[in-house]
Amino acid sequence: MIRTSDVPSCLRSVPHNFGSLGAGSLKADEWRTMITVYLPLALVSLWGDGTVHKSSVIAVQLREALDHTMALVSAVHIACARSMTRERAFAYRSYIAAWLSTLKSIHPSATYRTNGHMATHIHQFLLSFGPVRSWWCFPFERLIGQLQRLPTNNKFGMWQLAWE
Amino acid sequence: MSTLAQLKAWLACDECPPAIKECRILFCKAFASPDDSEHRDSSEELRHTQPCSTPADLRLLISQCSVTLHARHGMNGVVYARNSTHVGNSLIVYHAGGDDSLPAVPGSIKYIFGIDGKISFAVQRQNVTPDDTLDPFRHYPHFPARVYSDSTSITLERVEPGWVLSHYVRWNFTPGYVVVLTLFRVSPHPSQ
Repeated sequence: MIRTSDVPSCLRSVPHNFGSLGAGSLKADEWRTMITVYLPLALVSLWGDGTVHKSSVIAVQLREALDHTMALVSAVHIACARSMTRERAFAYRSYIAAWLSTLKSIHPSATYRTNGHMATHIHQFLLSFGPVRSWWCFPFERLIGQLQRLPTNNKFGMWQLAWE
Repeated sequence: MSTLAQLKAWLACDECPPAIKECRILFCKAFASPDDSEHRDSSEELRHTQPCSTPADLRLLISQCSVTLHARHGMNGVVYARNSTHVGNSLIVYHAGGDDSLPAVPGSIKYIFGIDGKISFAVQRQNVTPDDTLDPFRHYPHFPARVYSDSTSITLERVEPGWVLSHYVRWNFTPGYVVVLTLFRVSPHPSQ
């Protein structure tokens, strides 16, 4: 699916062999592309309306898992939009609350993590500071990456000392 | 950073061998980011592309006998391309006629043409599906994906770059149908 989709070049690409051992781990921005584009398209096509499953029980379980995942997808879409309204901020909170509240029933083996709690606070940040793009940490992450490579061999400039 | 600046200075000076300069042009076309080279390329194309005879299907849209045709156009760091150059960069969601009150529609750029230095797109709109088509994405209003026909209209539609809302992702969903997923907006329209 990743290989066959028509996507603009501005969209951060993800490994075509995602899921296999050779694909490696995804970076945060690649995960964003995955959760906002490829995973929802794939899951809806596999588990959404019009799909056929072995039994009605399995169909219901998969549909619940799909709706649960799509709540998170919708929240991320709202957070990553380039403009923000109060309605969107409250919709974000509703999606995150729905996702967290049904996490243990949909995925019994899952455990609550700190990130889930932190995600609920983003609602207040959306109201106070606007779209996440205005204050997310990707620019700082890039700067940190550049600084981290300085002491090794990433020649980020050079020293030139001269005495007269 | 200073090394990069020195390399750029060397590439720009007369002492740089022509073969290296040729490699630089090819390298920029292949790997440069949309923020710089694509934008510069489009302005260079505007200056250097010669008018040619208007294709027959485009002549139905515009009255001119000759236009300048471009493979790509860069604006505000966003790259647009005709579908024969890059299918993904040709997929745009736009307000038909520039009317913000109408819902944005998806389409594919077939031609990028210039008349008197003004760039416009000739777009084939993505055909809609019959009313009784099952759209599994309708349950998720904040996920901007919808099912469309996999065909595009034969008729071309003129679209100005300022009418474009965003690019979109297209994926063959089932035979005869595609999913259109609108990406985050590129224009200042407040609808996304």
